[in-house]
Amino acid sequence: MTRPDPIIEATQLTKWYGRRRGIENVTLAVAAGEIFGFLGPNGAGKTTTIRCLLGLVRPQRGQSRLFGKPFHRIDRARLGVVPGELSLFERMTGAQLLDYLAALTGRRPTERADLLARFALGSGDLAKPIRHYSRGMKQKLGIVQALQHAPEVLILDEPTEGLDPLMQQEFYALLGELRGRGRTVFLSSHLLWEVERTCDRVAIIREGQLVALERIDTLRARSVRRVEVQFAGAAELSRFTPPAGVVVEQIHGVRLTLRVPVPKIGAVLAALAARAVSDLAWERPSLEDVFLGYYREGADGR
Amino acid sequence: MGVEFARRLRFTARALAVYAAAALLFQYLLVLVFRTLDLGALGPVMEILPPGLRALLGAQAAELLSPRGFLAVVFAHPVMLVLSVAFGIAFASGALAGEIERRSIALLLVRRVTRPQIVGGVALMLLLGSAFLMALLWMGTAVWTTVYDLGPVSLTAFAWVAGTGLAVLWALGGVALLASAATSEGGRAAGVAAAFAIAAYVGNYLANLSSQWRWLKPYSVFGYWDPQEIVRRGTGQWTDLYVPLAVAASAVILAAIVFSRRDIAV
Repeated sequence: MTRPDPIIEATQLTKWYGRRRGIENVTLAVAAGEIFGFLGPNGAGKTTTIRCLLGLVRPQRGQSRLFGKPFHRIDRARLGVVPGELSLFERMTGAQLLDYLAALTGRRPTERADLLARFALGSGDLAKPIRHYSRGMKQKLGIVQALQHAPEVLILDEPTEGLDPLMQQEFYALLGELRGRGRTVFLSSHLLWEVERTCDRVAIIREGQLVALERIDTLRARSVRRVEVQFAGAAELSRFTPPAGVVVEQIHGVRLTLRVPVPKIGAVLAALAARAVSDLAWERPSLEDVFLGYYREGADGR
Repeated sequence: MGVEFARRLRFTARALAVYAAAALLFQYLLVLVFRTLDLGALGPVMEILPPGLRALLGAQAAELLSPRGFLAVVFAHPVMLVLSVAFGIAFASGALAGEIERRSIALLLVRRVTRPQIVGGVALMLLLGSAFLMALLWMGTAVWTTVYDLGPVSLTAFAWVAGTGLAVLWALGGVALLASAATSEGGRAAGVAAAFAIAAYVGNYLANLSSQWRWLKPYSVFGYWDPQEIVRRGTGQWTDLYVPLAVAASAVILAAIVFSRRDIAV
């Protein structure tokens, strides 16, 4: 589907670091108000793509645009960024850092108080030098600095790294609110359930190349379901023949685990209806399954 | 740019104060040593010093026994040089390459500050820091000569010593900034800058030592800084200011270009 006026746009981005691959022909577009997930394992090229978007590295080929302009021409106050492998100025206190970065941004930090309250950063914490912060506190401060000036676009590179589960929940709730306010979010993650939970669309990057660019629900629909069937007896199990394209993953006593492509669901149900089944469980596919599916496809193709 | 410069100033002030205190203390100690010297007995000793040591002391080794000559040599004493040059190298290499290495530079580059502005802020801080060190030594000279009645000393000549010293320090700082702009590790940038400073010092030393090596002098920034010659003549030469300043300005401009074009990926 073509989208008018993308806020974030990458076209044929290609970056090599000497002989080491960065990314190849990465093309994507993120529309205004969209929460866009960017998935891939470590070293797949997520951070390189973000660096190209932010003008930190120059691609050998292709171009990137934010708000329809090259990065060096945009009003950077409209942007909030949590860099990957976040590193802050350790000698500053938390309060000094937030003031300093707000001053550099050139916009009043209107959201700061609310964010500090949400992420449980009190005035005592902010008075301490950052070198005394825990990993989680640094990450929380990293999120606050990116959002404190209410930017229209957020580029977040693995923003929940180091956050405890409670703070992760708070962050996901915040993303939901940002969606409601029409903000655009580019969220890089290797946590598949995180993207599944928060994003509208997702791009999957593998070895520097995009292997999928889909809506989350489309991606799920294309994926394989795992079905666990418990037959009434061994005879029932032995009489069951899985339809073509359905893979028997595991047999354990009278329990059978199947991997069922979505188009084969009807055929499987028909086959099971003819047998005595005592239990049946359909697992909702996680994005991890989808992701592994893409990887398996790639591996099989090699 | 003002906000960014203010941060650098704030977090460099303490280090600069330590360098300045050490330099002033060293100057004071040398003044105390000078007051204990038996100048009459040392005169003939100066005449028989080996050429290598005379080259180390400066072109006008005999001036060493006069208050003005001794105070001048304090500016270019190896310990003082190490202190002054170390500030520039440590600051410049930590400011760009160090922040790239620590990954904190990304927080700046996604905001309303351009790469040339960052380089400009560091260059300005280098200039101010070096100026502070030289001004302090000049003030120290004025204070010690008054307190210990070290005879007539031209403070104008010492202003030239400090001014040309500042130009040389800024040139070395500029080279350190260029190394910092081109690399992604503070240690590597400091190493390159230190190697350049040592090569320049050795080049000037060889030029003072032997006529065979005199051709090296114009190619070393230290060749444009001879405190003893300045106090002997009572004034400096404009070329001793222009050449190091031109080196500094070229290095800073080059650093801005290199830093603007490079990838920030660590």
